Amino acid sequence: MMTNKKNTQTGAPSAPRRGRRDVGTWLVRNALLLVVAGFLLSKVTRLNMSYSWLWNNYLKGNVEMIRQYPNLTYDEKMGMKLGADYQYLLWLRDNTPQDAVVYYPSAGDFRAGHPAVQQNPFNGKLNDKLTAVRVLYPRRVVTEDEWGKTSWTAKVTHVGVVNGRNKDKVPYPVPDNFVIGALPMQQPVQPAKTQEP
Amino acid sequence: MMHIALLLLFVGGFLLITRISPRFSLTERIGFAFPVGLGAVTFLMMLQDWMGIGLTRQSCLVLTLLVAVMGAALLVPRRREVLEGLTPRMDFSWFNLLWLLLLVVLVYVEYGNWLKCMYFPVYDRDSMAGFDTIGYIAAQEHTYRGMSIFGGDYMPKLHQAGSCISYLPMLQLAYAYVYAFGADTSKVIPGLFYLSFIVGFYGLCCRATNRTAAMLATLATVFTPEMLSFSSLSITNVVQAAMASTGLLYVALWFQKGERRDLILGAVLIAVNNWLRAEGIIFGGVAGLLVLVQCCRRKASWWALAAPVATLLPTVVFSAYAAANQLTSESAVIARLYWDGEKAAQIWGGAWSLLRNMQYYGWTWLAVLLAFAANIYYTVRRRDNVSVLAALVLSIALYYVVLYHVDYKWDSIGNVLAYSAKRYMFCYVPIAWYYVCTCRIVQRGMGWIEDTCGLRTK
Repeated sequence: MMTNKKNTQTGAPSAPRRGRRDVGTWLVRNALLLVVAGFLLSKVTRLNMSYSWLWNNYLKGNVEMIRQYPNLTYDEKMGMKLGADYQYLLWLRDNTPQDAVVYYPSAGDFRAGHPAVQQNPFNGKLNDKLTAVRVLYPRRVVTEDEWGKTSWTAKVTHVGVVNGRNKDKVPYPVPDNFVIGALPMQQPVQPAKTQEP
Repeated sequence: MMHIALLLLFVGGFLLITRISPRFSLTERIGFAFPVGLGAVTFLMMLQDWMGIGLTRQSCLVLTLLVAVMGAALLVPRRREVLEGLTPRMDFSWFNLLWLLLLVVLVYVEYGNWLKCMYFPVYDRDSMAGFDTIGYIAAQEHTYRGMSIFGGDYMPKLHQAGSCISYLPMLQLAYAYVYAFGADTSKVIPGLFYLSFIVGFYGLCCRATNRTAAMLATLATVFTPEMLSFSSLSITNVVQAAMASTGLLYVALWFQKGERRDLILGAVLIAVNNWLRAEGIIFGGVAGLLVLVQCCRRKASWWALAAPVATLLPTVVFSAYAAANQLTSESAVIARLYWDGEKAAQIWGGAWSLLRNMQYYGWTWLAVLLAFAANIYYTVRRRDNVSVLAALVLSIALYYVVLYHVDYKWDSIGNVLAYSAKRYMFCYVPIAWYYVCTCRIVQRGMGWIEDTCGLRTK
């Protein structure tokens, strides 16, 4: 027979109960219920691969990883997720003044590769302007499709170079072996800073 | 300081829901307090920004206090009723170990999810290229409408179709709120939102079915693979799903039981959903249809239609704010009736492939189909759960009608269907599991378990 129990917290009446159930009966019935439910739950997660992924990789995997590295810094965690592209953004942030206007390389620049670099560490996924703005703020960012089209082109103070690209945007010659880094628009007195890929 | 502000925000939301009705269960009030409080405070933040008052730590705190004090002041005349409503009823006659097992699994799942959410800063593309960055800069510059990224020709693409400038700003302002209090990352917002949703959804389910079925519905919803993995990110989809689904379910509950408080809370949650994403208005539309049906059947006053209409308030006010502050973008909506067979077939194909997808949504759609088939006798003869089924089917259909009426200038429809539409479907997962677990046939099964294995004999 159908029971029409409602949530008692809401004040709705619950079905009347006669008396307390014997502890032994309750335990036996619930143990049986648990066995069946446990069996069904374990089967469900195995029958569908995405549930297995959720349980083993997403939940267990992340919990284990977090326990293994509990004290990583903000930038280390971001680097773990976003890779070399994020490291490059950090490098730009740490090596340009706060009032800099940075020309940020395009996805094509990141993915281009370079003969001097055996394996390109970049994937070009952090190519959106606002993503670069988030890391570089309060520096201003100019992107490839804005170059020459907005008033900010004339204000660029630093040009981001990856895979040797964008060196042509500065008004002075740059050595061929300059692969990754940032070039100031004004020719520096000292050699420009570079970073190993 | 941030923790105190978030606590005050929770208290404000709790009091506002209690103002709607002190008869809501503690679970419901605790669950929906944070989303409602956050919705109210961020809405006031937009008005404050419009008035030219800076979005600083102090002003955010004053707004939060204002919401809490307003909520408390509104409750003064009903204080006795409110105090009575704070005492939970201690009835554990239904208690069984299946409920406990489901709870333990649910707690572990949310523990792992919360841990992941709070451990990693914001790294997903959509948030970094939009919501989180906008919130971060708004907090640094103490303004939303006057942000440096919105000014002059710095972001020339900002006024193109699909640009983040025209997104409803609830989540961005929520992120600005925590950044204003010095947070390193905004992840506490999606983390708390999802936790609140779990509690609130369980409370809502308990209103319609027994506790074991309610716990099953909650666990099944939370354990939906794609939805859970997205819940630890900072994008709007899961947050919207939480509000849209529960809002619509409250309206469906009102349809079944006729209690005014459910209609009002449903409208509030749908309004929060509208405050999150523009296409959320479809849920208000479906709620409006349900209300209209009751009005036509003379089971509700025509005044009840004011509730779904009021859900449009955030959309309307934000449209005025955006127009007044040049925060508009090129429209991507095709506002005329038209027929494009190829596009319709593509959208139908995309929708169908998602509804068959057991990788993203686990057993969700299959469970709905099975529950519908098993419950068909009660559906036909006693109209059991018809309002929930109608809400589910109508809102899915309307969503794809909306997708059909979008002019995809910034992306291809193929991309939207392949990568974005799967996230839109999150809204239907809680409704689907609610439907499954409140079907009479499932309630009977779970009721039998509670009768057979509960602490008391029948």
